[in-house]
Amino acid sequence: MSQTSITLLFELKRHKGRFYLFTLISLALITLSGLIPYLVNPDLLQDTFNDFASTQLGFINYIIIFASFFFFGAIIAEEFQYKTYLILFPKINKLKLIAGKFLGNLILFLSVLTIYYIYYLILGLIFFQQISFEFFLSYLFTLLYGIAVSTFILAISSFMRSVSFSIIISFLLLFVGFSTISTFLTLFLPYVEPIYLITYHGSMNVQIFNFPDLRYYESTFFIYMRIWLTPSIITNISIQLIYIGFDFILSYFIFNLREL
Amino acid sequence: MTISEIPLIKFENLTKDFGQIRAVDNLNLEVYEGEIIGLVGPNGAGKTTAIKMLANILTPSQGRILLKDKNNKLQDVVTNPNILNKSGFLIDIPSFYEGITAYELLKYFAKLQNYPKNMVESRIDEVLQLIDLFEWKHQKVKIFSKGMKQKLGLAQALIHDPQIVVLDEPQIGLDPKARVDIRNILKDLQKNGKTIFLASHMLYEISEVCDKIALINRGILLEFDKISELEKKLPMHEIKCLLLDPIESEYVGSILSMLEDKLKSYLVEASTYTNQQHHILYDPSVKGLKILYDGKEDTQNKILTTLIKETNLKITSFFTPKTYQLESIYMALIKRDEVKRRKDLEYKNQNKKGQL
Repeated sequence: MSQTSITLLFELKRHKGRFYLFTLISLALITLSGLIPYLVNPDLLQDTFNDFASTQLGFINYIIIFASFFFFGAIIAEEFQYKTYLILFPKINKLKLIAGKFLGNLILFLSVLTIYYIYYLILGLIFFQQISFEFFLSYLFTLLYGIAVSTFILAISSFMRSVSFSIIISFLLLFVGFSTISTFLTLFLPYVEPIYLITYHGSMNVQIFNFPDLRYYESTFFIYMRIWLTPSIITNISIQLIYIGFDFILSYFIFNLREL
Repeated sequence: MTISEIPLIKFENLTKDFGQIRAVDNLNLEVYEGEIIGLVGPNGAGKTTAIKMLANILTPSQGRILLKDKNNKLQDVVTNPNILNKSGFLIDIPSFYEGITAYELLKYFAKLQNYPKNMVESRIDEVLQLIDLFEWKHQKVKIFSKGMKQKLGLAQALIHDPQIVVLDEPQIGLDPKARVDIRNILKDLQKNGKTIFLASHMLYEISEVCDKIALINRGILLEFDKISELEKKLPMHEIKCLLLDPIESEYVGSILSMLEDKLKSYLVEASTYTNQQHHILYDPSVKGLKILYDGKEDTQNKILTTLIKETNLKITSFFTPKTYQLESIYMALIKRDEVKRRKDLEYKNQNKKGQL
């Protein structure tokens, strides 16, 4: 067995607690928002499965980001903070260590997202006795976005010496930094599509239920503004794959360059 | 050069700079198979930095570290890191992923180092028994005390049965029993043919187990030799003489004065190495005399002869304590180095002023 797969299995064992926690949170949230209200008042139920799914799935991007902080924010930063690298090296090289830790956490993280979708699939079958092809596409876009966000947080983690700092910086960038950039662009460069903002690509898992539809809407109230809703499918996939590759390579190089 | 003449580890002009600070300065050392080498120095001397370079965690600024491979050729640890597979390291105070058990951790490390799969379980038990943590096998590391973590650190260094064991302050934070245990483990490892490279500032522990000692200060190697050879270079200054019967308190003063008088010529230099005012002290709690002398080998005989002939004291043992010897060498070398540095600095400053 390779060192990467040994580390992967070790990470699965080490972080199973996080997996249980986020699975429980996800299931509780779905039960509270996607099951109980409709059991109490069936009139609230949407007309079609796609309407139901697009209404309910909006929350998953928060799960993706919050879970990513905890699964990926520590991967590199913890080695520096707790000096665990002193017992790991020279037993394993840095690339295999990052790959194993990342893949182990990714499996747990994507499993949480998969369970989230399975629960909605079951609800779809209960309420509508059907599901749609778009639902599967939404699932695939969620996985892709999840991987892109996780590599982004891994890259942030590679610069940090503290796990908490890594999580705080990631939080500020994803929730405050990118939103601020997006707002400025909307105001001053309305024709420029913000494809380089990773959070912009997160909307695809919900927007896919409405495709083909407007990708933006315009407002001329005081000034002209173009509010971008979603990228094209091809742009979404390409940019996120670039993000994933770039972030992983960056993480490795930074980790390799930093003296332990 | 025969195979036995090829060192197992060779530090070659090893230098490490952190910005303007030189942590290790042109270090040259050779460690041979089966030896226990102690790297001794004060805090900040460069011990851990040297060990981190040996583990390929830090890259040397200049020089290199070579390890002997299966074909008896020396390989650079930077360009050929696989050569380190036969080494086990305990660096600094170890930290572990705390949510897992000692067993899970050791199993992970054994697998990482390709230890035969069918022997992993028995090896974990063997190592845990060796370090007296077997009962804690399935307990999470987060509940371990500092000393237990230190022992677990030793276990992870030994889990793959390495040929070379490199330990950085292995006895730090341990109680006396655990320190003795570790000392015995090191001796057993040496008996089994392992080569041990040990950094510590615990002089007694070092003197008990090491064949040779490398004294390092501010990154510079001051001396590297057997303790007995170092003694010759820097003579010792303390003799302990234990007595069968205590000296009655009313006679202590007169006996000591008489001895000081008779041994006067041998005691002259002793006061330069100690803060004590008297050269000969009597400790009634151990029924022993402590004699500070000039350190010459033949002087010991003369002192013993004088004690026997001139007094009616019944001597049970007469020796130079090992720890004191090492401490004395250590302090003298550090002091010598500091004086040399100060002189160099003054010389440089004078030259600068002269140029201005």
